[in-house]
Parts: sequence; structure tokens; C-alpha cells
Amino acid sequence: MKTAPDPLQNPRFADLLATLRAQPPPSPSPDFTRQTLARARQAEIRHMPWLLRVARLAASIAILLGLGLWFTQRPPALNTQPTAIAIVMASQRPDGSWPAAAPASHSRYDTSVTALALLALMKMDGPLPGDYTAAIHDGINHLVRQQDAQGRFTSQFSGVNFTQYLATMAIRAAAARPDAEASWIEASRRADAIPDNSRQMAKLNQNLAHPAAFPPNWLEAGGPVTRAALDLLVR
Amino acid sequence: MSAPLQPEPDDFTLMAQVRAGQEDAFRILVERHQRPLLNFFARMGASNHGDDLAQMTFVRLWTYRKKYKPTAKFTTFLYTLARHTWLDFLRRQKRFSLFAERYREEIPASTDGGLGQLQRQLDIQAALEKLSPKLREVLVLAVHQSLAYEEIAKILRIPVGTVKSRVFNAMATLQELFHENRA
Repeated sequence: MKTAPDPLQNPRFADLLATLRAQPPPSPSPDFTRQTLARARQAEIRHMPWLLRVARLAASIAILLGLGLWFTQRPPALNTQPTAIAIVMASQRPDGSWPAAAPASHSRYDTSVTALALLALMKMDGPLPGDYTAAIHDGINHLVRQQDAQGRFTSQFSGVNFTQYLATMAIRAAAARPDAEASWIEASRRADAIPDNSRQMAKLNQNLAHPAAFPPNWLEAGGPVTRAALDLLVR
Repeated sequence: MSAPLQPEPDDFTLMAQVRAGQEDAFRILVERHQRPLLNFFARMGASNHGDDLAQMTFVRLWTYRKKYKPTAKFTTFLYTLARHTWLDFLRRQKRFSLFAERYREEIPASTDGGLGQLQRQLDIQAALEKLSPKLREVLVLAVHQSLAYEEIAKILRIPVGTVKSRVFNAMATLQELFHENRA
């Protein structure tokens, strides 16, 4: 098969070809290579395969949705164990008691709040890590000091039955512990001698069984320690 | 004693490394082929956009590096990308011959040796830019880039015989235009 002649070898174009080849090539700018590499890096991101881009987008959306879901579904701060236990542990007074909420007029509920905090701590003590023993001992000893010779924990005022009942439950639980002190067992015996008000106790038990429906005025009076203790008890 | 000089790796070897994402190999290819690419775009009539178009071609080379098949000659792949870059440029720039015409008007003709040579180069460039894009690209690839006809045929996806006939037509037309310019 005959191939066509090479036109660039045609003598007719020799002068023209020489002129064309004499054209000087342009020089690149001094930072041509650096600019090219920078542009290539930028383009790499823009030209990422669509599947990878979709995957990245999907991952971003999933993370955002996850964060949104967590934000809406997350338990209230009070329900998180570290926060609740931290509140209880940080709120104990040097004398072993726990305070009710301000104002000072609510201090008459201190014994109730102390009993509630102790019930929560005694529940947490053992299966979960953390040494609450010292706090429990201080708290129970404080309760024992509040008890009179007849076994009552407080004088007469509204809520006295609740205070009596809560403190009795705390003392009973303490007396049943392996590290119970003799004074606790004696205090438990004295507390048991006080007759329960069955109607009030039923009401309190019902509220303790459903802390979410705890009377707002009680929570208001009990303050953050009460909320934290109830949260620990309901677990 | 100085270490013996290592021969520079060829384009095939470098492209294999570029395919693996090695930027150093890409840098060598850029440095090696930037002048010929700039020349390609200058002769195609885009000399004032040469840096940009050559960089865009290299960016395409990096972006599409995985598409390079080692069976093909590297320059075939590179000039295929360059041609696509140039065609994209043409779509954006309709007045691709304006620069040379304007430049020719700014510099008066002279019989002086230095300027005469420059004038001759401007005239040939002006004539080159008057060629149709089809004739011009085949001529630039054959003359300025010194690519083989077979390689040009692969880049343009036309038969080798068509390449040769286009080169012939381009040279004949250019000769007429060049003499017209100088008349």
C-alpha cells in the first residue's frame, strides 16, 4: 500500500518550515511549577469522585442528624449519673447533713433531704465504683444526732410525717449495712417504735415510686440535692 | 567524590508514580513539559493565556492521571488533554486572533536585522492564526511539537492520511498568508 508523502519534507515548504521552527518558544513564569502544583491540589478536592463526595456528604448529614437526635433525645442533665452523684457528693455539709433549697425557711426540710440523699448514696454504694462510705457514715451519724429519745427526727411542722418516714427508712437501711454502727441499730429500733401515718406514707411511697411526678413544691423545697437523689433512686 | 549522576526517569516511569499520587513525579513532568506546552498554546493563538492554559492542562493531567494507560505514549495523552483545554478555551474566547493583529499594529515593520527577524516571526504567527483551527492544530502538533503523524492521528482521532493531507493544506495556505502579510 502506497503511503502519502510527508508534506514537511516537501522542498516547496522548506523556507516556511524553517521560519516556523525559528519561532522562539515562550518562557514560563518563574513560579509556573509552584502555581501548577497548587492548582492541582485544589482541583483534586473539586474533582473528587462523585461517589466519594456523596459518601462524604452522607457522612456529614448522618453526623448532623445523629447530633440532632442526641440533642433532642438526650436525657436531662439531672438524669446523668455523674452529674446527679456529683451534686449529692458536693452538697454534703461538714456536719454530714444535706441542705434543702434556699431560702433559709426551707432548712426545716434539711433532715428530709439528708435522709433522701443517704437513701440514694446507700443504693449507689456497692455496685458502682466510688467510695461513698465516709459520706454515708457522716450522714447517718448526723441523722442519729437529730433523733430524740422517743425516736422522732423532727418537731411538729408540715411535712413532719414525711421527714419521719424518710429518716426512718434511711436509718433502717443503714442499720442493715455490714458496717452498721451500734448507734445506728439502736436509732433504727427507736424509729421503728414510732407508729407510721399510713395514709401519708402511702402518698409518699407513691411519689417516690414516680419521681417524675414528684410534687413541684416538694422539689422546690428540696432543691437540687432532692432532684439528684430522686434521680439516683429511680435508676 | 561526587555521586554519579542518575539518569532522569522517563515519562512512563514518572506517570506510573503520578498515578500512585506521587507529587514529586508530577513536579518533574510539569518542569519537563511546561515549555513545549506553552509553545503549543502560543502557536495556537493563545499566547497571552499560555501560562493559564498550560497549567490547566497539567491540572487535568493530575486529575485524570488514573485514566492514563501505560500503553499510550505520554505525549499523546498530554496533548489530548492540551487540545481539550484549548477547545474549552476557544469556546470561551471567540476572538482568538485579536492579539496577534493588535500586536502587529503596535510594532512597525522594519528592515533592521533584529526587528526584521521579530517582524518575520510576528508575520508568521499572524499568518498561523489566520489558519482554520483544524489546520492550525495539526500544523502546530507536527511542526512545533514535532509529534509523529501517528501520534497526531491518535490525538485528533483521525486517520494518518488525513493528518498528512491537513499538514499539506496548512503549509500551502500558510505560505500564501505569510507572503500576503509580507507583501
